[in-house]
Formats: sequence, structure tokens, C-alpha cells
Amino acid sequence: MMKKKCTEANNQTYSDLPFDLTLLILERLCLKDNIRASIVCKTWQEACVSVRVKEYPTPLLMRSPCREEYELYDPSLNKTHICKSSPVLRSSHIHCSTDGWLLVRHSNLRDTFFLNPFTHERIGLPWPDMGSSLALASSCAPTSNSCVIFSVSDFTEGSITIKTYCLATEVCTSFKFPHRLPWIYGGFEHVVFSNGVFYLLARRGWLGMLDLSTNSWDLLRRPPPKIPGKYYRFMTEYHGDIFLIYTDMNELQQPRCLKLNLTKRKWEDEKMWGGLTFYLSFVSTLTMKRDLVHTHKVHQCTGYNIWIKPPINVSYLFTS
Amino acid sequence: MSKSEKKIVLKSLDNEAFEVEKAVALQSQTIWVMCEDKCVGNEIPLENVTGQILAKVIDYCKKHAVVDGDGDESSEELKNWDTEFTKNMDQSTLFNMILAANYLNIKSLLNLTCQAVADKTKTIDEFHTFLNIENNFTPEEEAQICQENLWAFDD
Repeated sequence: MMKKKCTEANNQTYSDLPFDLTLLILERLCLKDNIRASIVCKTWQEACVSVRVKEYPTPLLMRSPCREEYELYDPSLNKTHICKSSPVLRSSHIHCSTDGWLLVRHSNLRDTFFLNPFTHERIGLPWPDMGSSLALASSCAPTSNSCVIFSVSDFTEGSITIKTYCLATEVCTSFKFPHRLPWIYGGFEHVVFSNGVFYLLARRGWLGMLDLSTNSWDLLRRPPPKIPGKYYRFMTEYHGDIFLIYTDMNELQQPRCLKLNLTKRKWEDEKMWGGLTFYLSFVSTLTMKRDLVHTHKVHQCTGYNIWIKPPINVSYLFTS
Repeated sequence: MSKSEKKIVLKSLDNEAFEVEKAVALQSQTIWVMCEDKCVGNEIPLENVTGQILAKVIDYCKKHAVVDGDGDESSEELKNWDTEFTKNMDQSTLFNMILAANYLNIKSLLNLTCQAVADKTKTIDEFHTFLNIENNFTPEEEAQICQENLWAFDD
């Protein structure tokens, strides 16, 4: 029999633990403790990051996805992959990104469809009148029974017309809501769906809210407070909370975050946004409870970039 | 089945022999496979486990062999027993228990010991001292990680 001398207890260190057993321990830590454990040593940092990537997958950034070849950026690994774009995307405009699907409108303005950029699966929509939408968004993936499409079809002095399309029942509902907003059409910035409500942010700062459970419309006229300097503005949601994020165009100032307070009917400064990470682009935003696992800022957030949730089994994307 | 067949002898790397009920030992998938293969007699050499650790593993297996399959009350009792079992283990014992549980392939014990280490490593100071790990970051590298994740270090 092989005779081994017992290792001195004092010489044992957890950095000698096999990597897969280290992972077993770290999988049991909450995200905060995971981050704290990452400064124990370099091996542990590597293990912590690999647990985080698995347990809390980050969205991927598609850079200019309508080009023939586009870059797919994974912020958790700080890696960029070159992907072939779906041919139908090249002459289309992407309106929204939800649960790994893109809501796309062809430049002929007739065809609107969902496209899964990873599988190239396409789901067409039977409604022809979406071509003239002023703002377009969907509540979730088209494969879900609860998928509802939101479209602002008209905005005039005195009223706004909104259409909702339910994918499962193929029912289209049209609403005409009166408003007393000063009629200067500035366009719409973002549509965000959260907890059964579509939030529509106008460039002029007012916020429209359509509650799907009651089909009721609410309007917050008071714009967010003016912020000095040149900022990009993004709207995003996390578990029912709606946030406005202001990022300095010249990256000189820290980003500023406002949270919607519907009881007081105003936007309030949110200081404690620790733990939330905002993935922002003009087409889509995603917010997750996680940390930054990478040190690199994603530049060019102004370009035609789209954050997208990765498919469950993301590894196959990058094998080739 | 004769009495001798129901018993099995486990021999540690430092040649300590433990006679245990087969049902107790078979909670280890590794031992189970060895017995299935019939490549060993009644004495099973375990080359990676010291007698001190093996004794603890056997304690665990005995407890779990008796109680497994009983009602809710006993599962509660078992949980308390598990907590007590790992509560006062030092880092070195836990370290070796994890290795032993992994080698012997006892899933529930591996889960229990990994959880115990995770529970005991709640603050940074404890991480380094408890785990006996040398910090090989430069102060700048460490500061950068903290800076990027301020919220996790803010208390």
C-alpha cells in the first residue's frame, strides 16, 4: 500500500483545493459574498468570476447587428465575437429586444416580425398597420402566451392613439386617450415594460403608462429634473421599478440615476443603486442585480447597439 | 447473509482499521462501486483518507444510515445534528472532510462541508485567516477590484 505522510495541518491551504471543489464552495455564496471572496487570491478570483458567469449570465451587446457581420460582445468575459447577421436584418430596423428576441420592422414598413438572432427563427405578425408606429415594443418573448405588442399609432393635439396586439389571441385593441399636453411633437425615447405596465417616455419628458390589466392610461406630465451638462438619457426597469439613467456624453461625470415615485408622481434621485447593473443602449436596456465582473467600459454606447439576453446555452455560439 | 458479510473493514492511509456495517459504508459511492466490482475482499483500503478524518466520516454515515427514510421530525433532528457536526471543525479538518467526501463520493457530506466553509467565510479577514490563503494580489489590483464593486464592500 502506498504510504504517505500526513500533511501538516498548518501547511494546508484552501488555495490547494481542486478547482471544481473551490467552485462547489463558492456556488453557495450570495453575490455580495462572491465578490468579497474574489479578493482572497487570484485562483479564487478566477473561480468567483466563473461562478458568477454561470449563475448570473450577463446580457450580450450586439454592435451594429444590421451589418453583414457584426460584433457580439460579452461583458462578463470581455470578449468580442464576430457573428454573421441574419439576411433579413440588413434592411430592417430593430425596435426592441426582449428575452433574447428582437422586434424588427422591415424598411418597406409593411413587415414587422420577431427574430431570434441566435437561431435565426422568425415569427411574423399578422397585423399590417404597424408600419406607421411611432413607438413599438413587446412585453416579452413571442413564444410566451402573454406576449403583447405595444404600438403608438398616432399622436395629435388632444389625443394619443395606442394599439395593443395580443399574440396568443390575435386580438388587436385600439385606444384613443385624450391629453392636454402642449402639442409639440418631439418623438418618443424609450418604451419599457414592467410588471404589466408599458411605460412610454417622450423626448419632451412626459411619461405615459398603459396598464394592461385594466387597460387604463396614466400620464405623468411633470418632466424629470433638469440636469446640467450634456447627457444621454435611458429608461430601464428592475422588478417593477422604473429608472432614468443619465450618462455624461463626455464621461466626465458619474452617471446619475432617477427613480419613478408614482405616489408622489415625480422622478427622485436614487443614491442607493448598489448591486444593480444597467446595460444601456438606445434601442434596449436591461437591468440586473449583479456586479461588474469586468473592468472595461463599453464605449460607443451611442451607436446602433443592442443589449440582448443570451440563450440558455450560450457556449455553442462561440465555439467556432 | 452471515454476520461477517454485513460488516466491512475500512482501512485508512495511516493503517487504522474501522469495522462498520455495510449499510453505513455503502453511502459512499466509491465504496459501493468497489464492493460491486468484487475486486476487494472485506477490507477496503482508502489511500486518501487519514484515520482521524475517516472516523468523522464514519460518524456521519452512521447517523445518516439510521435516520434516512424516517419522518419529518427526524429529518429536523438530522439537520441539527449536521449543524453541530461541522460547527466546531477547524479549517484543516473541514478541508480534509471536503477532500474525503469528494474522494469517497458522498454527495450529502460534500454539500454539508462545502456549505460549512461558505458559512464560515463571511468577512474578508476571516477568508484569509480561516482559509489560510495567501493574498497574491498587489495592493493596486486589490484596490481596483474593490473600487469596481464598491457596493459589496460598503459595510
